[in-house]
Amino acid sequence: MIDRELDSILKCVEKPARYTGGEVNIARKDIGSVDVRMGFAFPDTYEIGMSYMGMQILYSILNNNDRIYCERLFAPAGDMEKLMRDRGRKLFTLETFTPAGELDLLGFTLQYEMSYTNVLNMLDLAGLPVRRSDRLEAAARGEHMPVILAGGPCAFNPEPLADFIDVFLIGDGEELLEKVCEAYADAKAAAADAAACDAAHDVRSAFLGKIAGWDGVYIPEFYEVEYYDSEAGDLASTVKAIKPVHEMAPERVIRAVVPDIDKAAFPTCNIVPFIDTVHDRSVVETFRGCTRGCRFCQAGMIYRPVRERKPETIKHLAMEQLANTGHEELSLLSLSTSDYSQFEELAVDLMGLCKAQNVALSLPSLRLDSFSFKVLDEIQGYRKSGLTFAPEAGTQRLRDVINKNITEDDIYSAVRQAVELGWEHIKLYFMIGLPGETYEDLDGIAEIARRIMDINYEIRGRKGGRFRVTVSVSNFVPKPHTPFQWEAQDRPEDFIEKHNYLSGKLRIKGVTFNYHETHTSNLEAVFARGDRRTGRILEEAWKNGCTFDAWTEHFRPELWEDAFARCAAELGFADGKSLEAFYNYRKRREDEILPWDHIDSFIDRQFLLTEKHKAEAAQTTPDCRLGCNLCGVNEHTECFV
Amino acid sequence: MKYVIRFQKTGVICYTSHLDIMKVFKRSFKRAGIRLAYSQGFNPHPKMGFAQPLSLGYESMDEYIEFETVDVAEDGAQVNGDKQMILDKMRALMPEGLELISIKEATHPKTLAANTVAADYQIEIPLPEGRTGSLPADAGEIWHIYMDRDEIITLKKQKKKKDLVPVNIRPKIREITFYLIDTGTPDAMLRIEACLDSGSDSNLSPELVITTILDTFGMEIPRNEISVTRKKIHFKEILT
Repeated sequence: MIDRELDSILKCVEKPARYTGGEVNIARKDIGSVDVRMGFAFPDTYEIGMSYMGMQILYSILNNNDRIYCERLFAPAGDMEKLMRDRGRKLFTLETFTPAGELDLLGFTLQYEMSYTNVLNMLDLAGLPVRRSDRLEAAARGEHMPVILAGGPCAFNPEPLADFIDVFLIGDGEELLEKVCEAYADAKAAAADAAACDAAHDVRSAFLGKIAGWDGVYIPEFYEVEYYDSEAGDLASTVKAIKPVHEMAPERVIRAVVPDIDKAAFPTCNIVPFIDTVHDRSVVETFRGCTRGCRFCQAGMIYRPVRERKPETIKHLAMEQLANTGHEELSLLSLSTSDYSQFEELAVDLMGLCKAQNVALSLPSLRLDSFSFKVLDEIQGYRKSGLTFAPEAGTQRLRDVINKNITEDDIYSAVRQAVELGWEHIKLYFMIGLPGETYEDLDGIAEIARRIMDINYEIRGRKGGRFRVTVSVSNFVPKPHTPFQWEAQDRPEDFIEKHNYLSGKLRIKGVTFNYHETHTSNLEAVFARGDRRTGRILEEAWKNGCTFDAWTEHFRPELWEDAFARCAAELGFADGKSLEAFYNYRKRREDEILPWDHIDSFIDRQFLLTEKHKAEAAQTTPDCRLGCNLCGVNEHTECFV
Repeated sequence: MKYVIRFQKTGVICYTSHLDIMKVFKRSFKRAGIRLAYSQGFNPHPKMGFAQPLSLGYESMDEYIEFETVDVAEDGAQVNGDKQMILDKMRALMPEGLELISIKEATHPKTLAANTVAADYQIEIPLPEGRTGSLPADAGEIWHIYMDRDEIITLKKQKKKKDLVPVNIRPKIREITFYLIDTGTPDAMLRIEACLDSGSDSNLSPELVITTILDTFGMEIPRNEISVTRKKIHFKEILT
């Protein structure tokens, strides 16, 4: 229950319903009746976290198990954090207002690198030491310390957070997380039976011993990392070896995979927030994985193989969810909606079901063929939203380099149809700083925008109506487990120069140009590919006061700069700039041991290298639905289930 | 058919705004399988509305929502059921703190909002020692000092321009009573029961009453320690 003190805090903060829980469909359990209590923590605000489907999936699986109670935690906004700290109020769960430090397990989902300082801040708000070693000391003094878990796509390079997290869960969480919670419950029960004097510590060791070696379980304290010293030439300071130091720890941690998505649990009784969130709608995942093989895309690699839900299952889940939530919108979730093998049939059926119930259907990331237009025209009616294309690069040559299979003819013929059907807004997404990019590729971006405006003038006449084009440019961040994992990132000054160049080129009537903040892209790259030592930088930045770095209004570049400068000497670098350069602006040798090499995503290193070489030669690789490209996934699990 | 449901909003749910509570009702109707009438046009929305907005953080013992149902499906079948069934289905789906009291068929002209004329509020101001300024120890005297004047002037934000203009709230206070409770103890408080103009013709927010009371007596009580409950809404027609 909310006590008087919390009540008086809530009266002073913005959007108090972020902190009150009690929403429709939350799990209510008798705390005394469960064996293990887990906190699912999303390291950003309530509105963002509640839009994340992964949490709804895992929350429902865990709470369907009578032994487990899973509760939610989010990062409090600045105003709330200040009042909590002033009054000594610890981070609490929304279901029962239990302080996070009293839970058995506290699991963070790592969706983007720029949320890492929030992970540390939430541990601190929970009253827990952020470093694992400090928590172990506290536990040795007899204090209860929850075991800190982390999962999600960023766990595929766990190293920057390795000194803060106890256990990383890598890969699909549907089966793994529940098993891990049960293992903790078993360890707890065993310790209670043994009535061990040092119970807290024993439970943790017994638990880790039990899960070490499972697919998807990475326990960083069981591994040691060695680095080359400064004498090692161009390998200086890179990873020399990552070795298991515990008998149960495997050489390489194999990612967890759910082979049959159709049979995997999916929620139908989702929590419905009271306040507006980024996405507040029913969602069904149609398939996991992607066959297109874009070389910059981490999701396209680490979620392989493609596994589909049956159309009947999808429709059933959708209708159940709508009935249990009362949502007015339904959306489909996958990496590429139209790649679903029975997409047309599914779309037609869902349109009918939604129409009958006054529910809006939203189909993100459609490939724009004639069928898609028919569907979009019908579901959007008079209120046409913008049409989105993601060519990612401005010329065919560079699109071949990144293996983005979309041609200018595809775009122009789709735009022509769109204009004829009455669309007035085209959105284009590009990346800059891609490997092998030249200024000709940037000219290509402007050229595409100009040609689209011309098509509109051609159809709508000299004045062109209210038609507009938005060009959004993001900065390329090389990601682990992709063919571009060895590539250097553009320096901030390169990005800025390119942004300025594009600003000039895109000064076209009716065209809006947006670009992503340079500094955050460079930081994102450090922690995307960082080794264990980068955790020090993170810790210093957090101590400097950095949180919510993904929010432009909260991002403090000067505090980050200071953190780099202060860590440089400790990490063996002359200054902050050369430290950043080592992680970001250096092309890695192909034989270099990468900090995430002990994490097995199922994608062969040889496949990634072949793709890298083909990129260098601007050669494409076809969609793997057309024939196996030998990425290695099918040595572990079946494709196209 | 048009209905009015009377309900209460208490506890934690008072931190969910008026608009968001509307969404809760909208979704609950959907979950309950109750078919609402939709407005026409490009952006159809269900026909429903509250009698009066309730500020974030206020509790209320007397709220009203009106809505219009479609009781015959396309195939001619009767749907929704009678009013008691509607109430029962909705009750089962309400989050904690939204208590549905009763339902009746609506017979009033126009909307509930257009029929609202006044509302009763209970305001509780804690009286910690040393922060109560010149507040007299006698409730009757408080009333005289506060009410025995032609004008109670305070600054009010204008809707459009957003700048502050002086307004006289005295004529909009229909009735007000002060109670001193538990004086001399740590739980001491000033309870105010007030009937204020409410609705589109003339409206007075309890916030202005709070500010003017604090100002009149020079009390230094932070707003977050003061609680407000709406006790009753008064309508032109006899609606309940």
